[in-house]
Amino acid sequence: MNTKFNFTIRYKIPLLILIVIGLASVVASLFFSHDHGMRFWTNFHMNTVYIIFISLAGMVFLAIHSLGTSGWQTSIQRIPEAMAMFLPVGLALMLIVLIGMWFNLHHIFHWTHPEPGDTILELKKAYLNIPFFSIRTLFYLGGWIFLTRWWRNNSLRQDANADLKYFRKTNTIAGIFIVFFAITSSMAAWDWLMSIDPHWFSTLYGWYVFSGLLVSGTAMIILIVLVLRASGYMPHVNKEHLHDLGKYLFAFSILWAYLWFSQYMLIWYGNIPEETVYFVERLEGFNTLFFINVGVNFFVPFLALMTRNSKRIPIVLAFTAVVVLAGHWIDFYLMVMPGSAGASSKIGFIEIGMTLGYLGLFLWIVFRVLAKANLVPENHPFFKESLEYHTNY
Amino acid sequence: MAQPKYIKAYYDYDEKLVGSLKVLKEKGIEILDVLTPFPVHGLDKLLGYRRSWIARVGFIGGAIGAACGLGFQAWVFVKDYPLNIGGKPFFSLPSFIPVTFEMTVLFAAFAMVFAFLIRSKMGPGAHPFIHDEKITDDRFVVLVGLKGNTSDKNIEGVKSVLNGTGARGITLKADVELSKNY
Repeated sequence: MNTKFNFTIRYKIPLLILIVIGLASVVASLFFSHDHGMRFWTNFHMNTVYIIFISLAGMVFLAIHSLGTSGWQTSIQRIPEAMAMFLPVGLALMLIVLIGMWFNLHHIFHWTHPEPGDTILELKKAYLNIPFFSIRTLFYLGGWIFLTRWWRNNSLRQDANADLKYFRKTNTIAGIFIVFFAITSSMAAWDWLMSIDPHWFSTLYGWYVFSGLLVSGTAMIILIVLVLRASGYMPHVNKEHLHDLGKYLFAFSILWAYLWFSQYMLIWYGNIPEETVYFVERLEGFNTLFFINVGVNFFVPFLALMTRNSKRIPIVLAFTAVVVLAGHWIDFYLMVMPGSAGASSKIGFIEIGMTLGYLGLFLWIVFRVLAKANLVPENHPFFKESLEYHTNY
Repeated sequence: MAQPKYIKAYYDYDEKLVGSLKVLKEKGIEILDVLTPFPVHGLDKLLGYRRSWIARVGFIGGAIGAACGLGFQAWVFVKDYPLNIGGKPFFSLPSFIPVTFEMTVLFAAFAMVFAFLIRSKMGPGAHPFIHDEKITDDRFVVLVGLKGNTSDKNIEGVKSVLNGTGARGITLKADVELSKNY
């Protein structure tokens, strides 16, 4: 079963259009809005973090399944692998945010320009300062890129050689990655997102972002699988595999809602001003989005994917995945915007355009990587198991 | 002795059982039930069982539980015994959610357990009839129906088919035991 993905003009043109829309929005945000480029920087940062987490979710997916010695995911393994290969581009985009920080081009992060006499930020300066922040950012991304590359090379070597030693090695890589990821995903969430509101903190924040990462990553995997299936690739991916992916989307949405509510309820119940300020800001300036966020990200996947049949119908799955991806975009918007752009933030053509540009860039890289290797890891020892797979509930 | 209504056939291995069921289906012989010590892969499909409706019972139970949990708390905290807790409004939805969640899970679980017990005639007071002690250990049993045709010729025919599929023991049973269990 040797199938290769052809990254033809049929895919390239729509993606190019998306990228052009993105670039046009960047230009528009830089030259036609009079807010010192703030609209550009906040959107740029937000979309960069979102897309980095989505591509990271690909590797998390692989690592979890490798450590669980599961077999069914083998037939779609190349898609999360390709998603993880976006990370170097994510690093380049994050470097732009860092450069903006060093050259004082933006103030997404309030702690880069603390007001004099702000003792809380003075105390936090030991952790929240530009050099250490940059080192941490490079450390997270460097580690992720190293481990995902290692995995990918190992996986490609197995394509050429059926030796089991490559399969055994995947477990080692996955183990190292999971430990590294468990620590760095939380820290990255504090640095890139929570430190936008530096006076506020939540001990649940890392988990909350992590659950959002799992949902949006799964939704992206589902969408890419469905696109490939619809264009005639991977005919061996059947309803059984879709069913399992649907289960993930369903379960991770509930996990996300659980963590969202845990964070909200404890702060609401405790009613301490230092903590409630985060939600007061969002409920006052971003009331509609705040409720859309919970409603869309919990109730839509919960109700749409509840029954067995709906998880097995591609169109329902695709609809839910798109809704969830948009919903988590709103979630990220609510994490980034109130603290950085504040009352001036809005959702207009620039925001949507830049997001489409990011989507185009991401899919361009993913498809390019997919085209480079066999679409199925046919020498994987669990590949046959994956073809025979079927699930009851 | 009453007329025999069905035949019990014993098998040692699940592969043999599955192979035999395929043969029986091919010959158009009625399969009343299959009793196994553990879930056999693909058996549901082979016997043409419809999917269980227990999930729907769970959904309805859960919905009732959610409504009861939320409704009761709202009634208590707003109407029956309003308490001022930290200056929060009497109807404080976030504080009702955990209890509502627990009630949803509890009602859904109970609804499913009781529906299962009632439907499969189990639970307290039930006298389950075990065809053979060994089916709880390492033996597989197929109950083959005779479709009311209890002539010796038909019984011998079914028996020879069963013998051909590698059944270890074959016994004829009267309807007395069947009516007890089904």
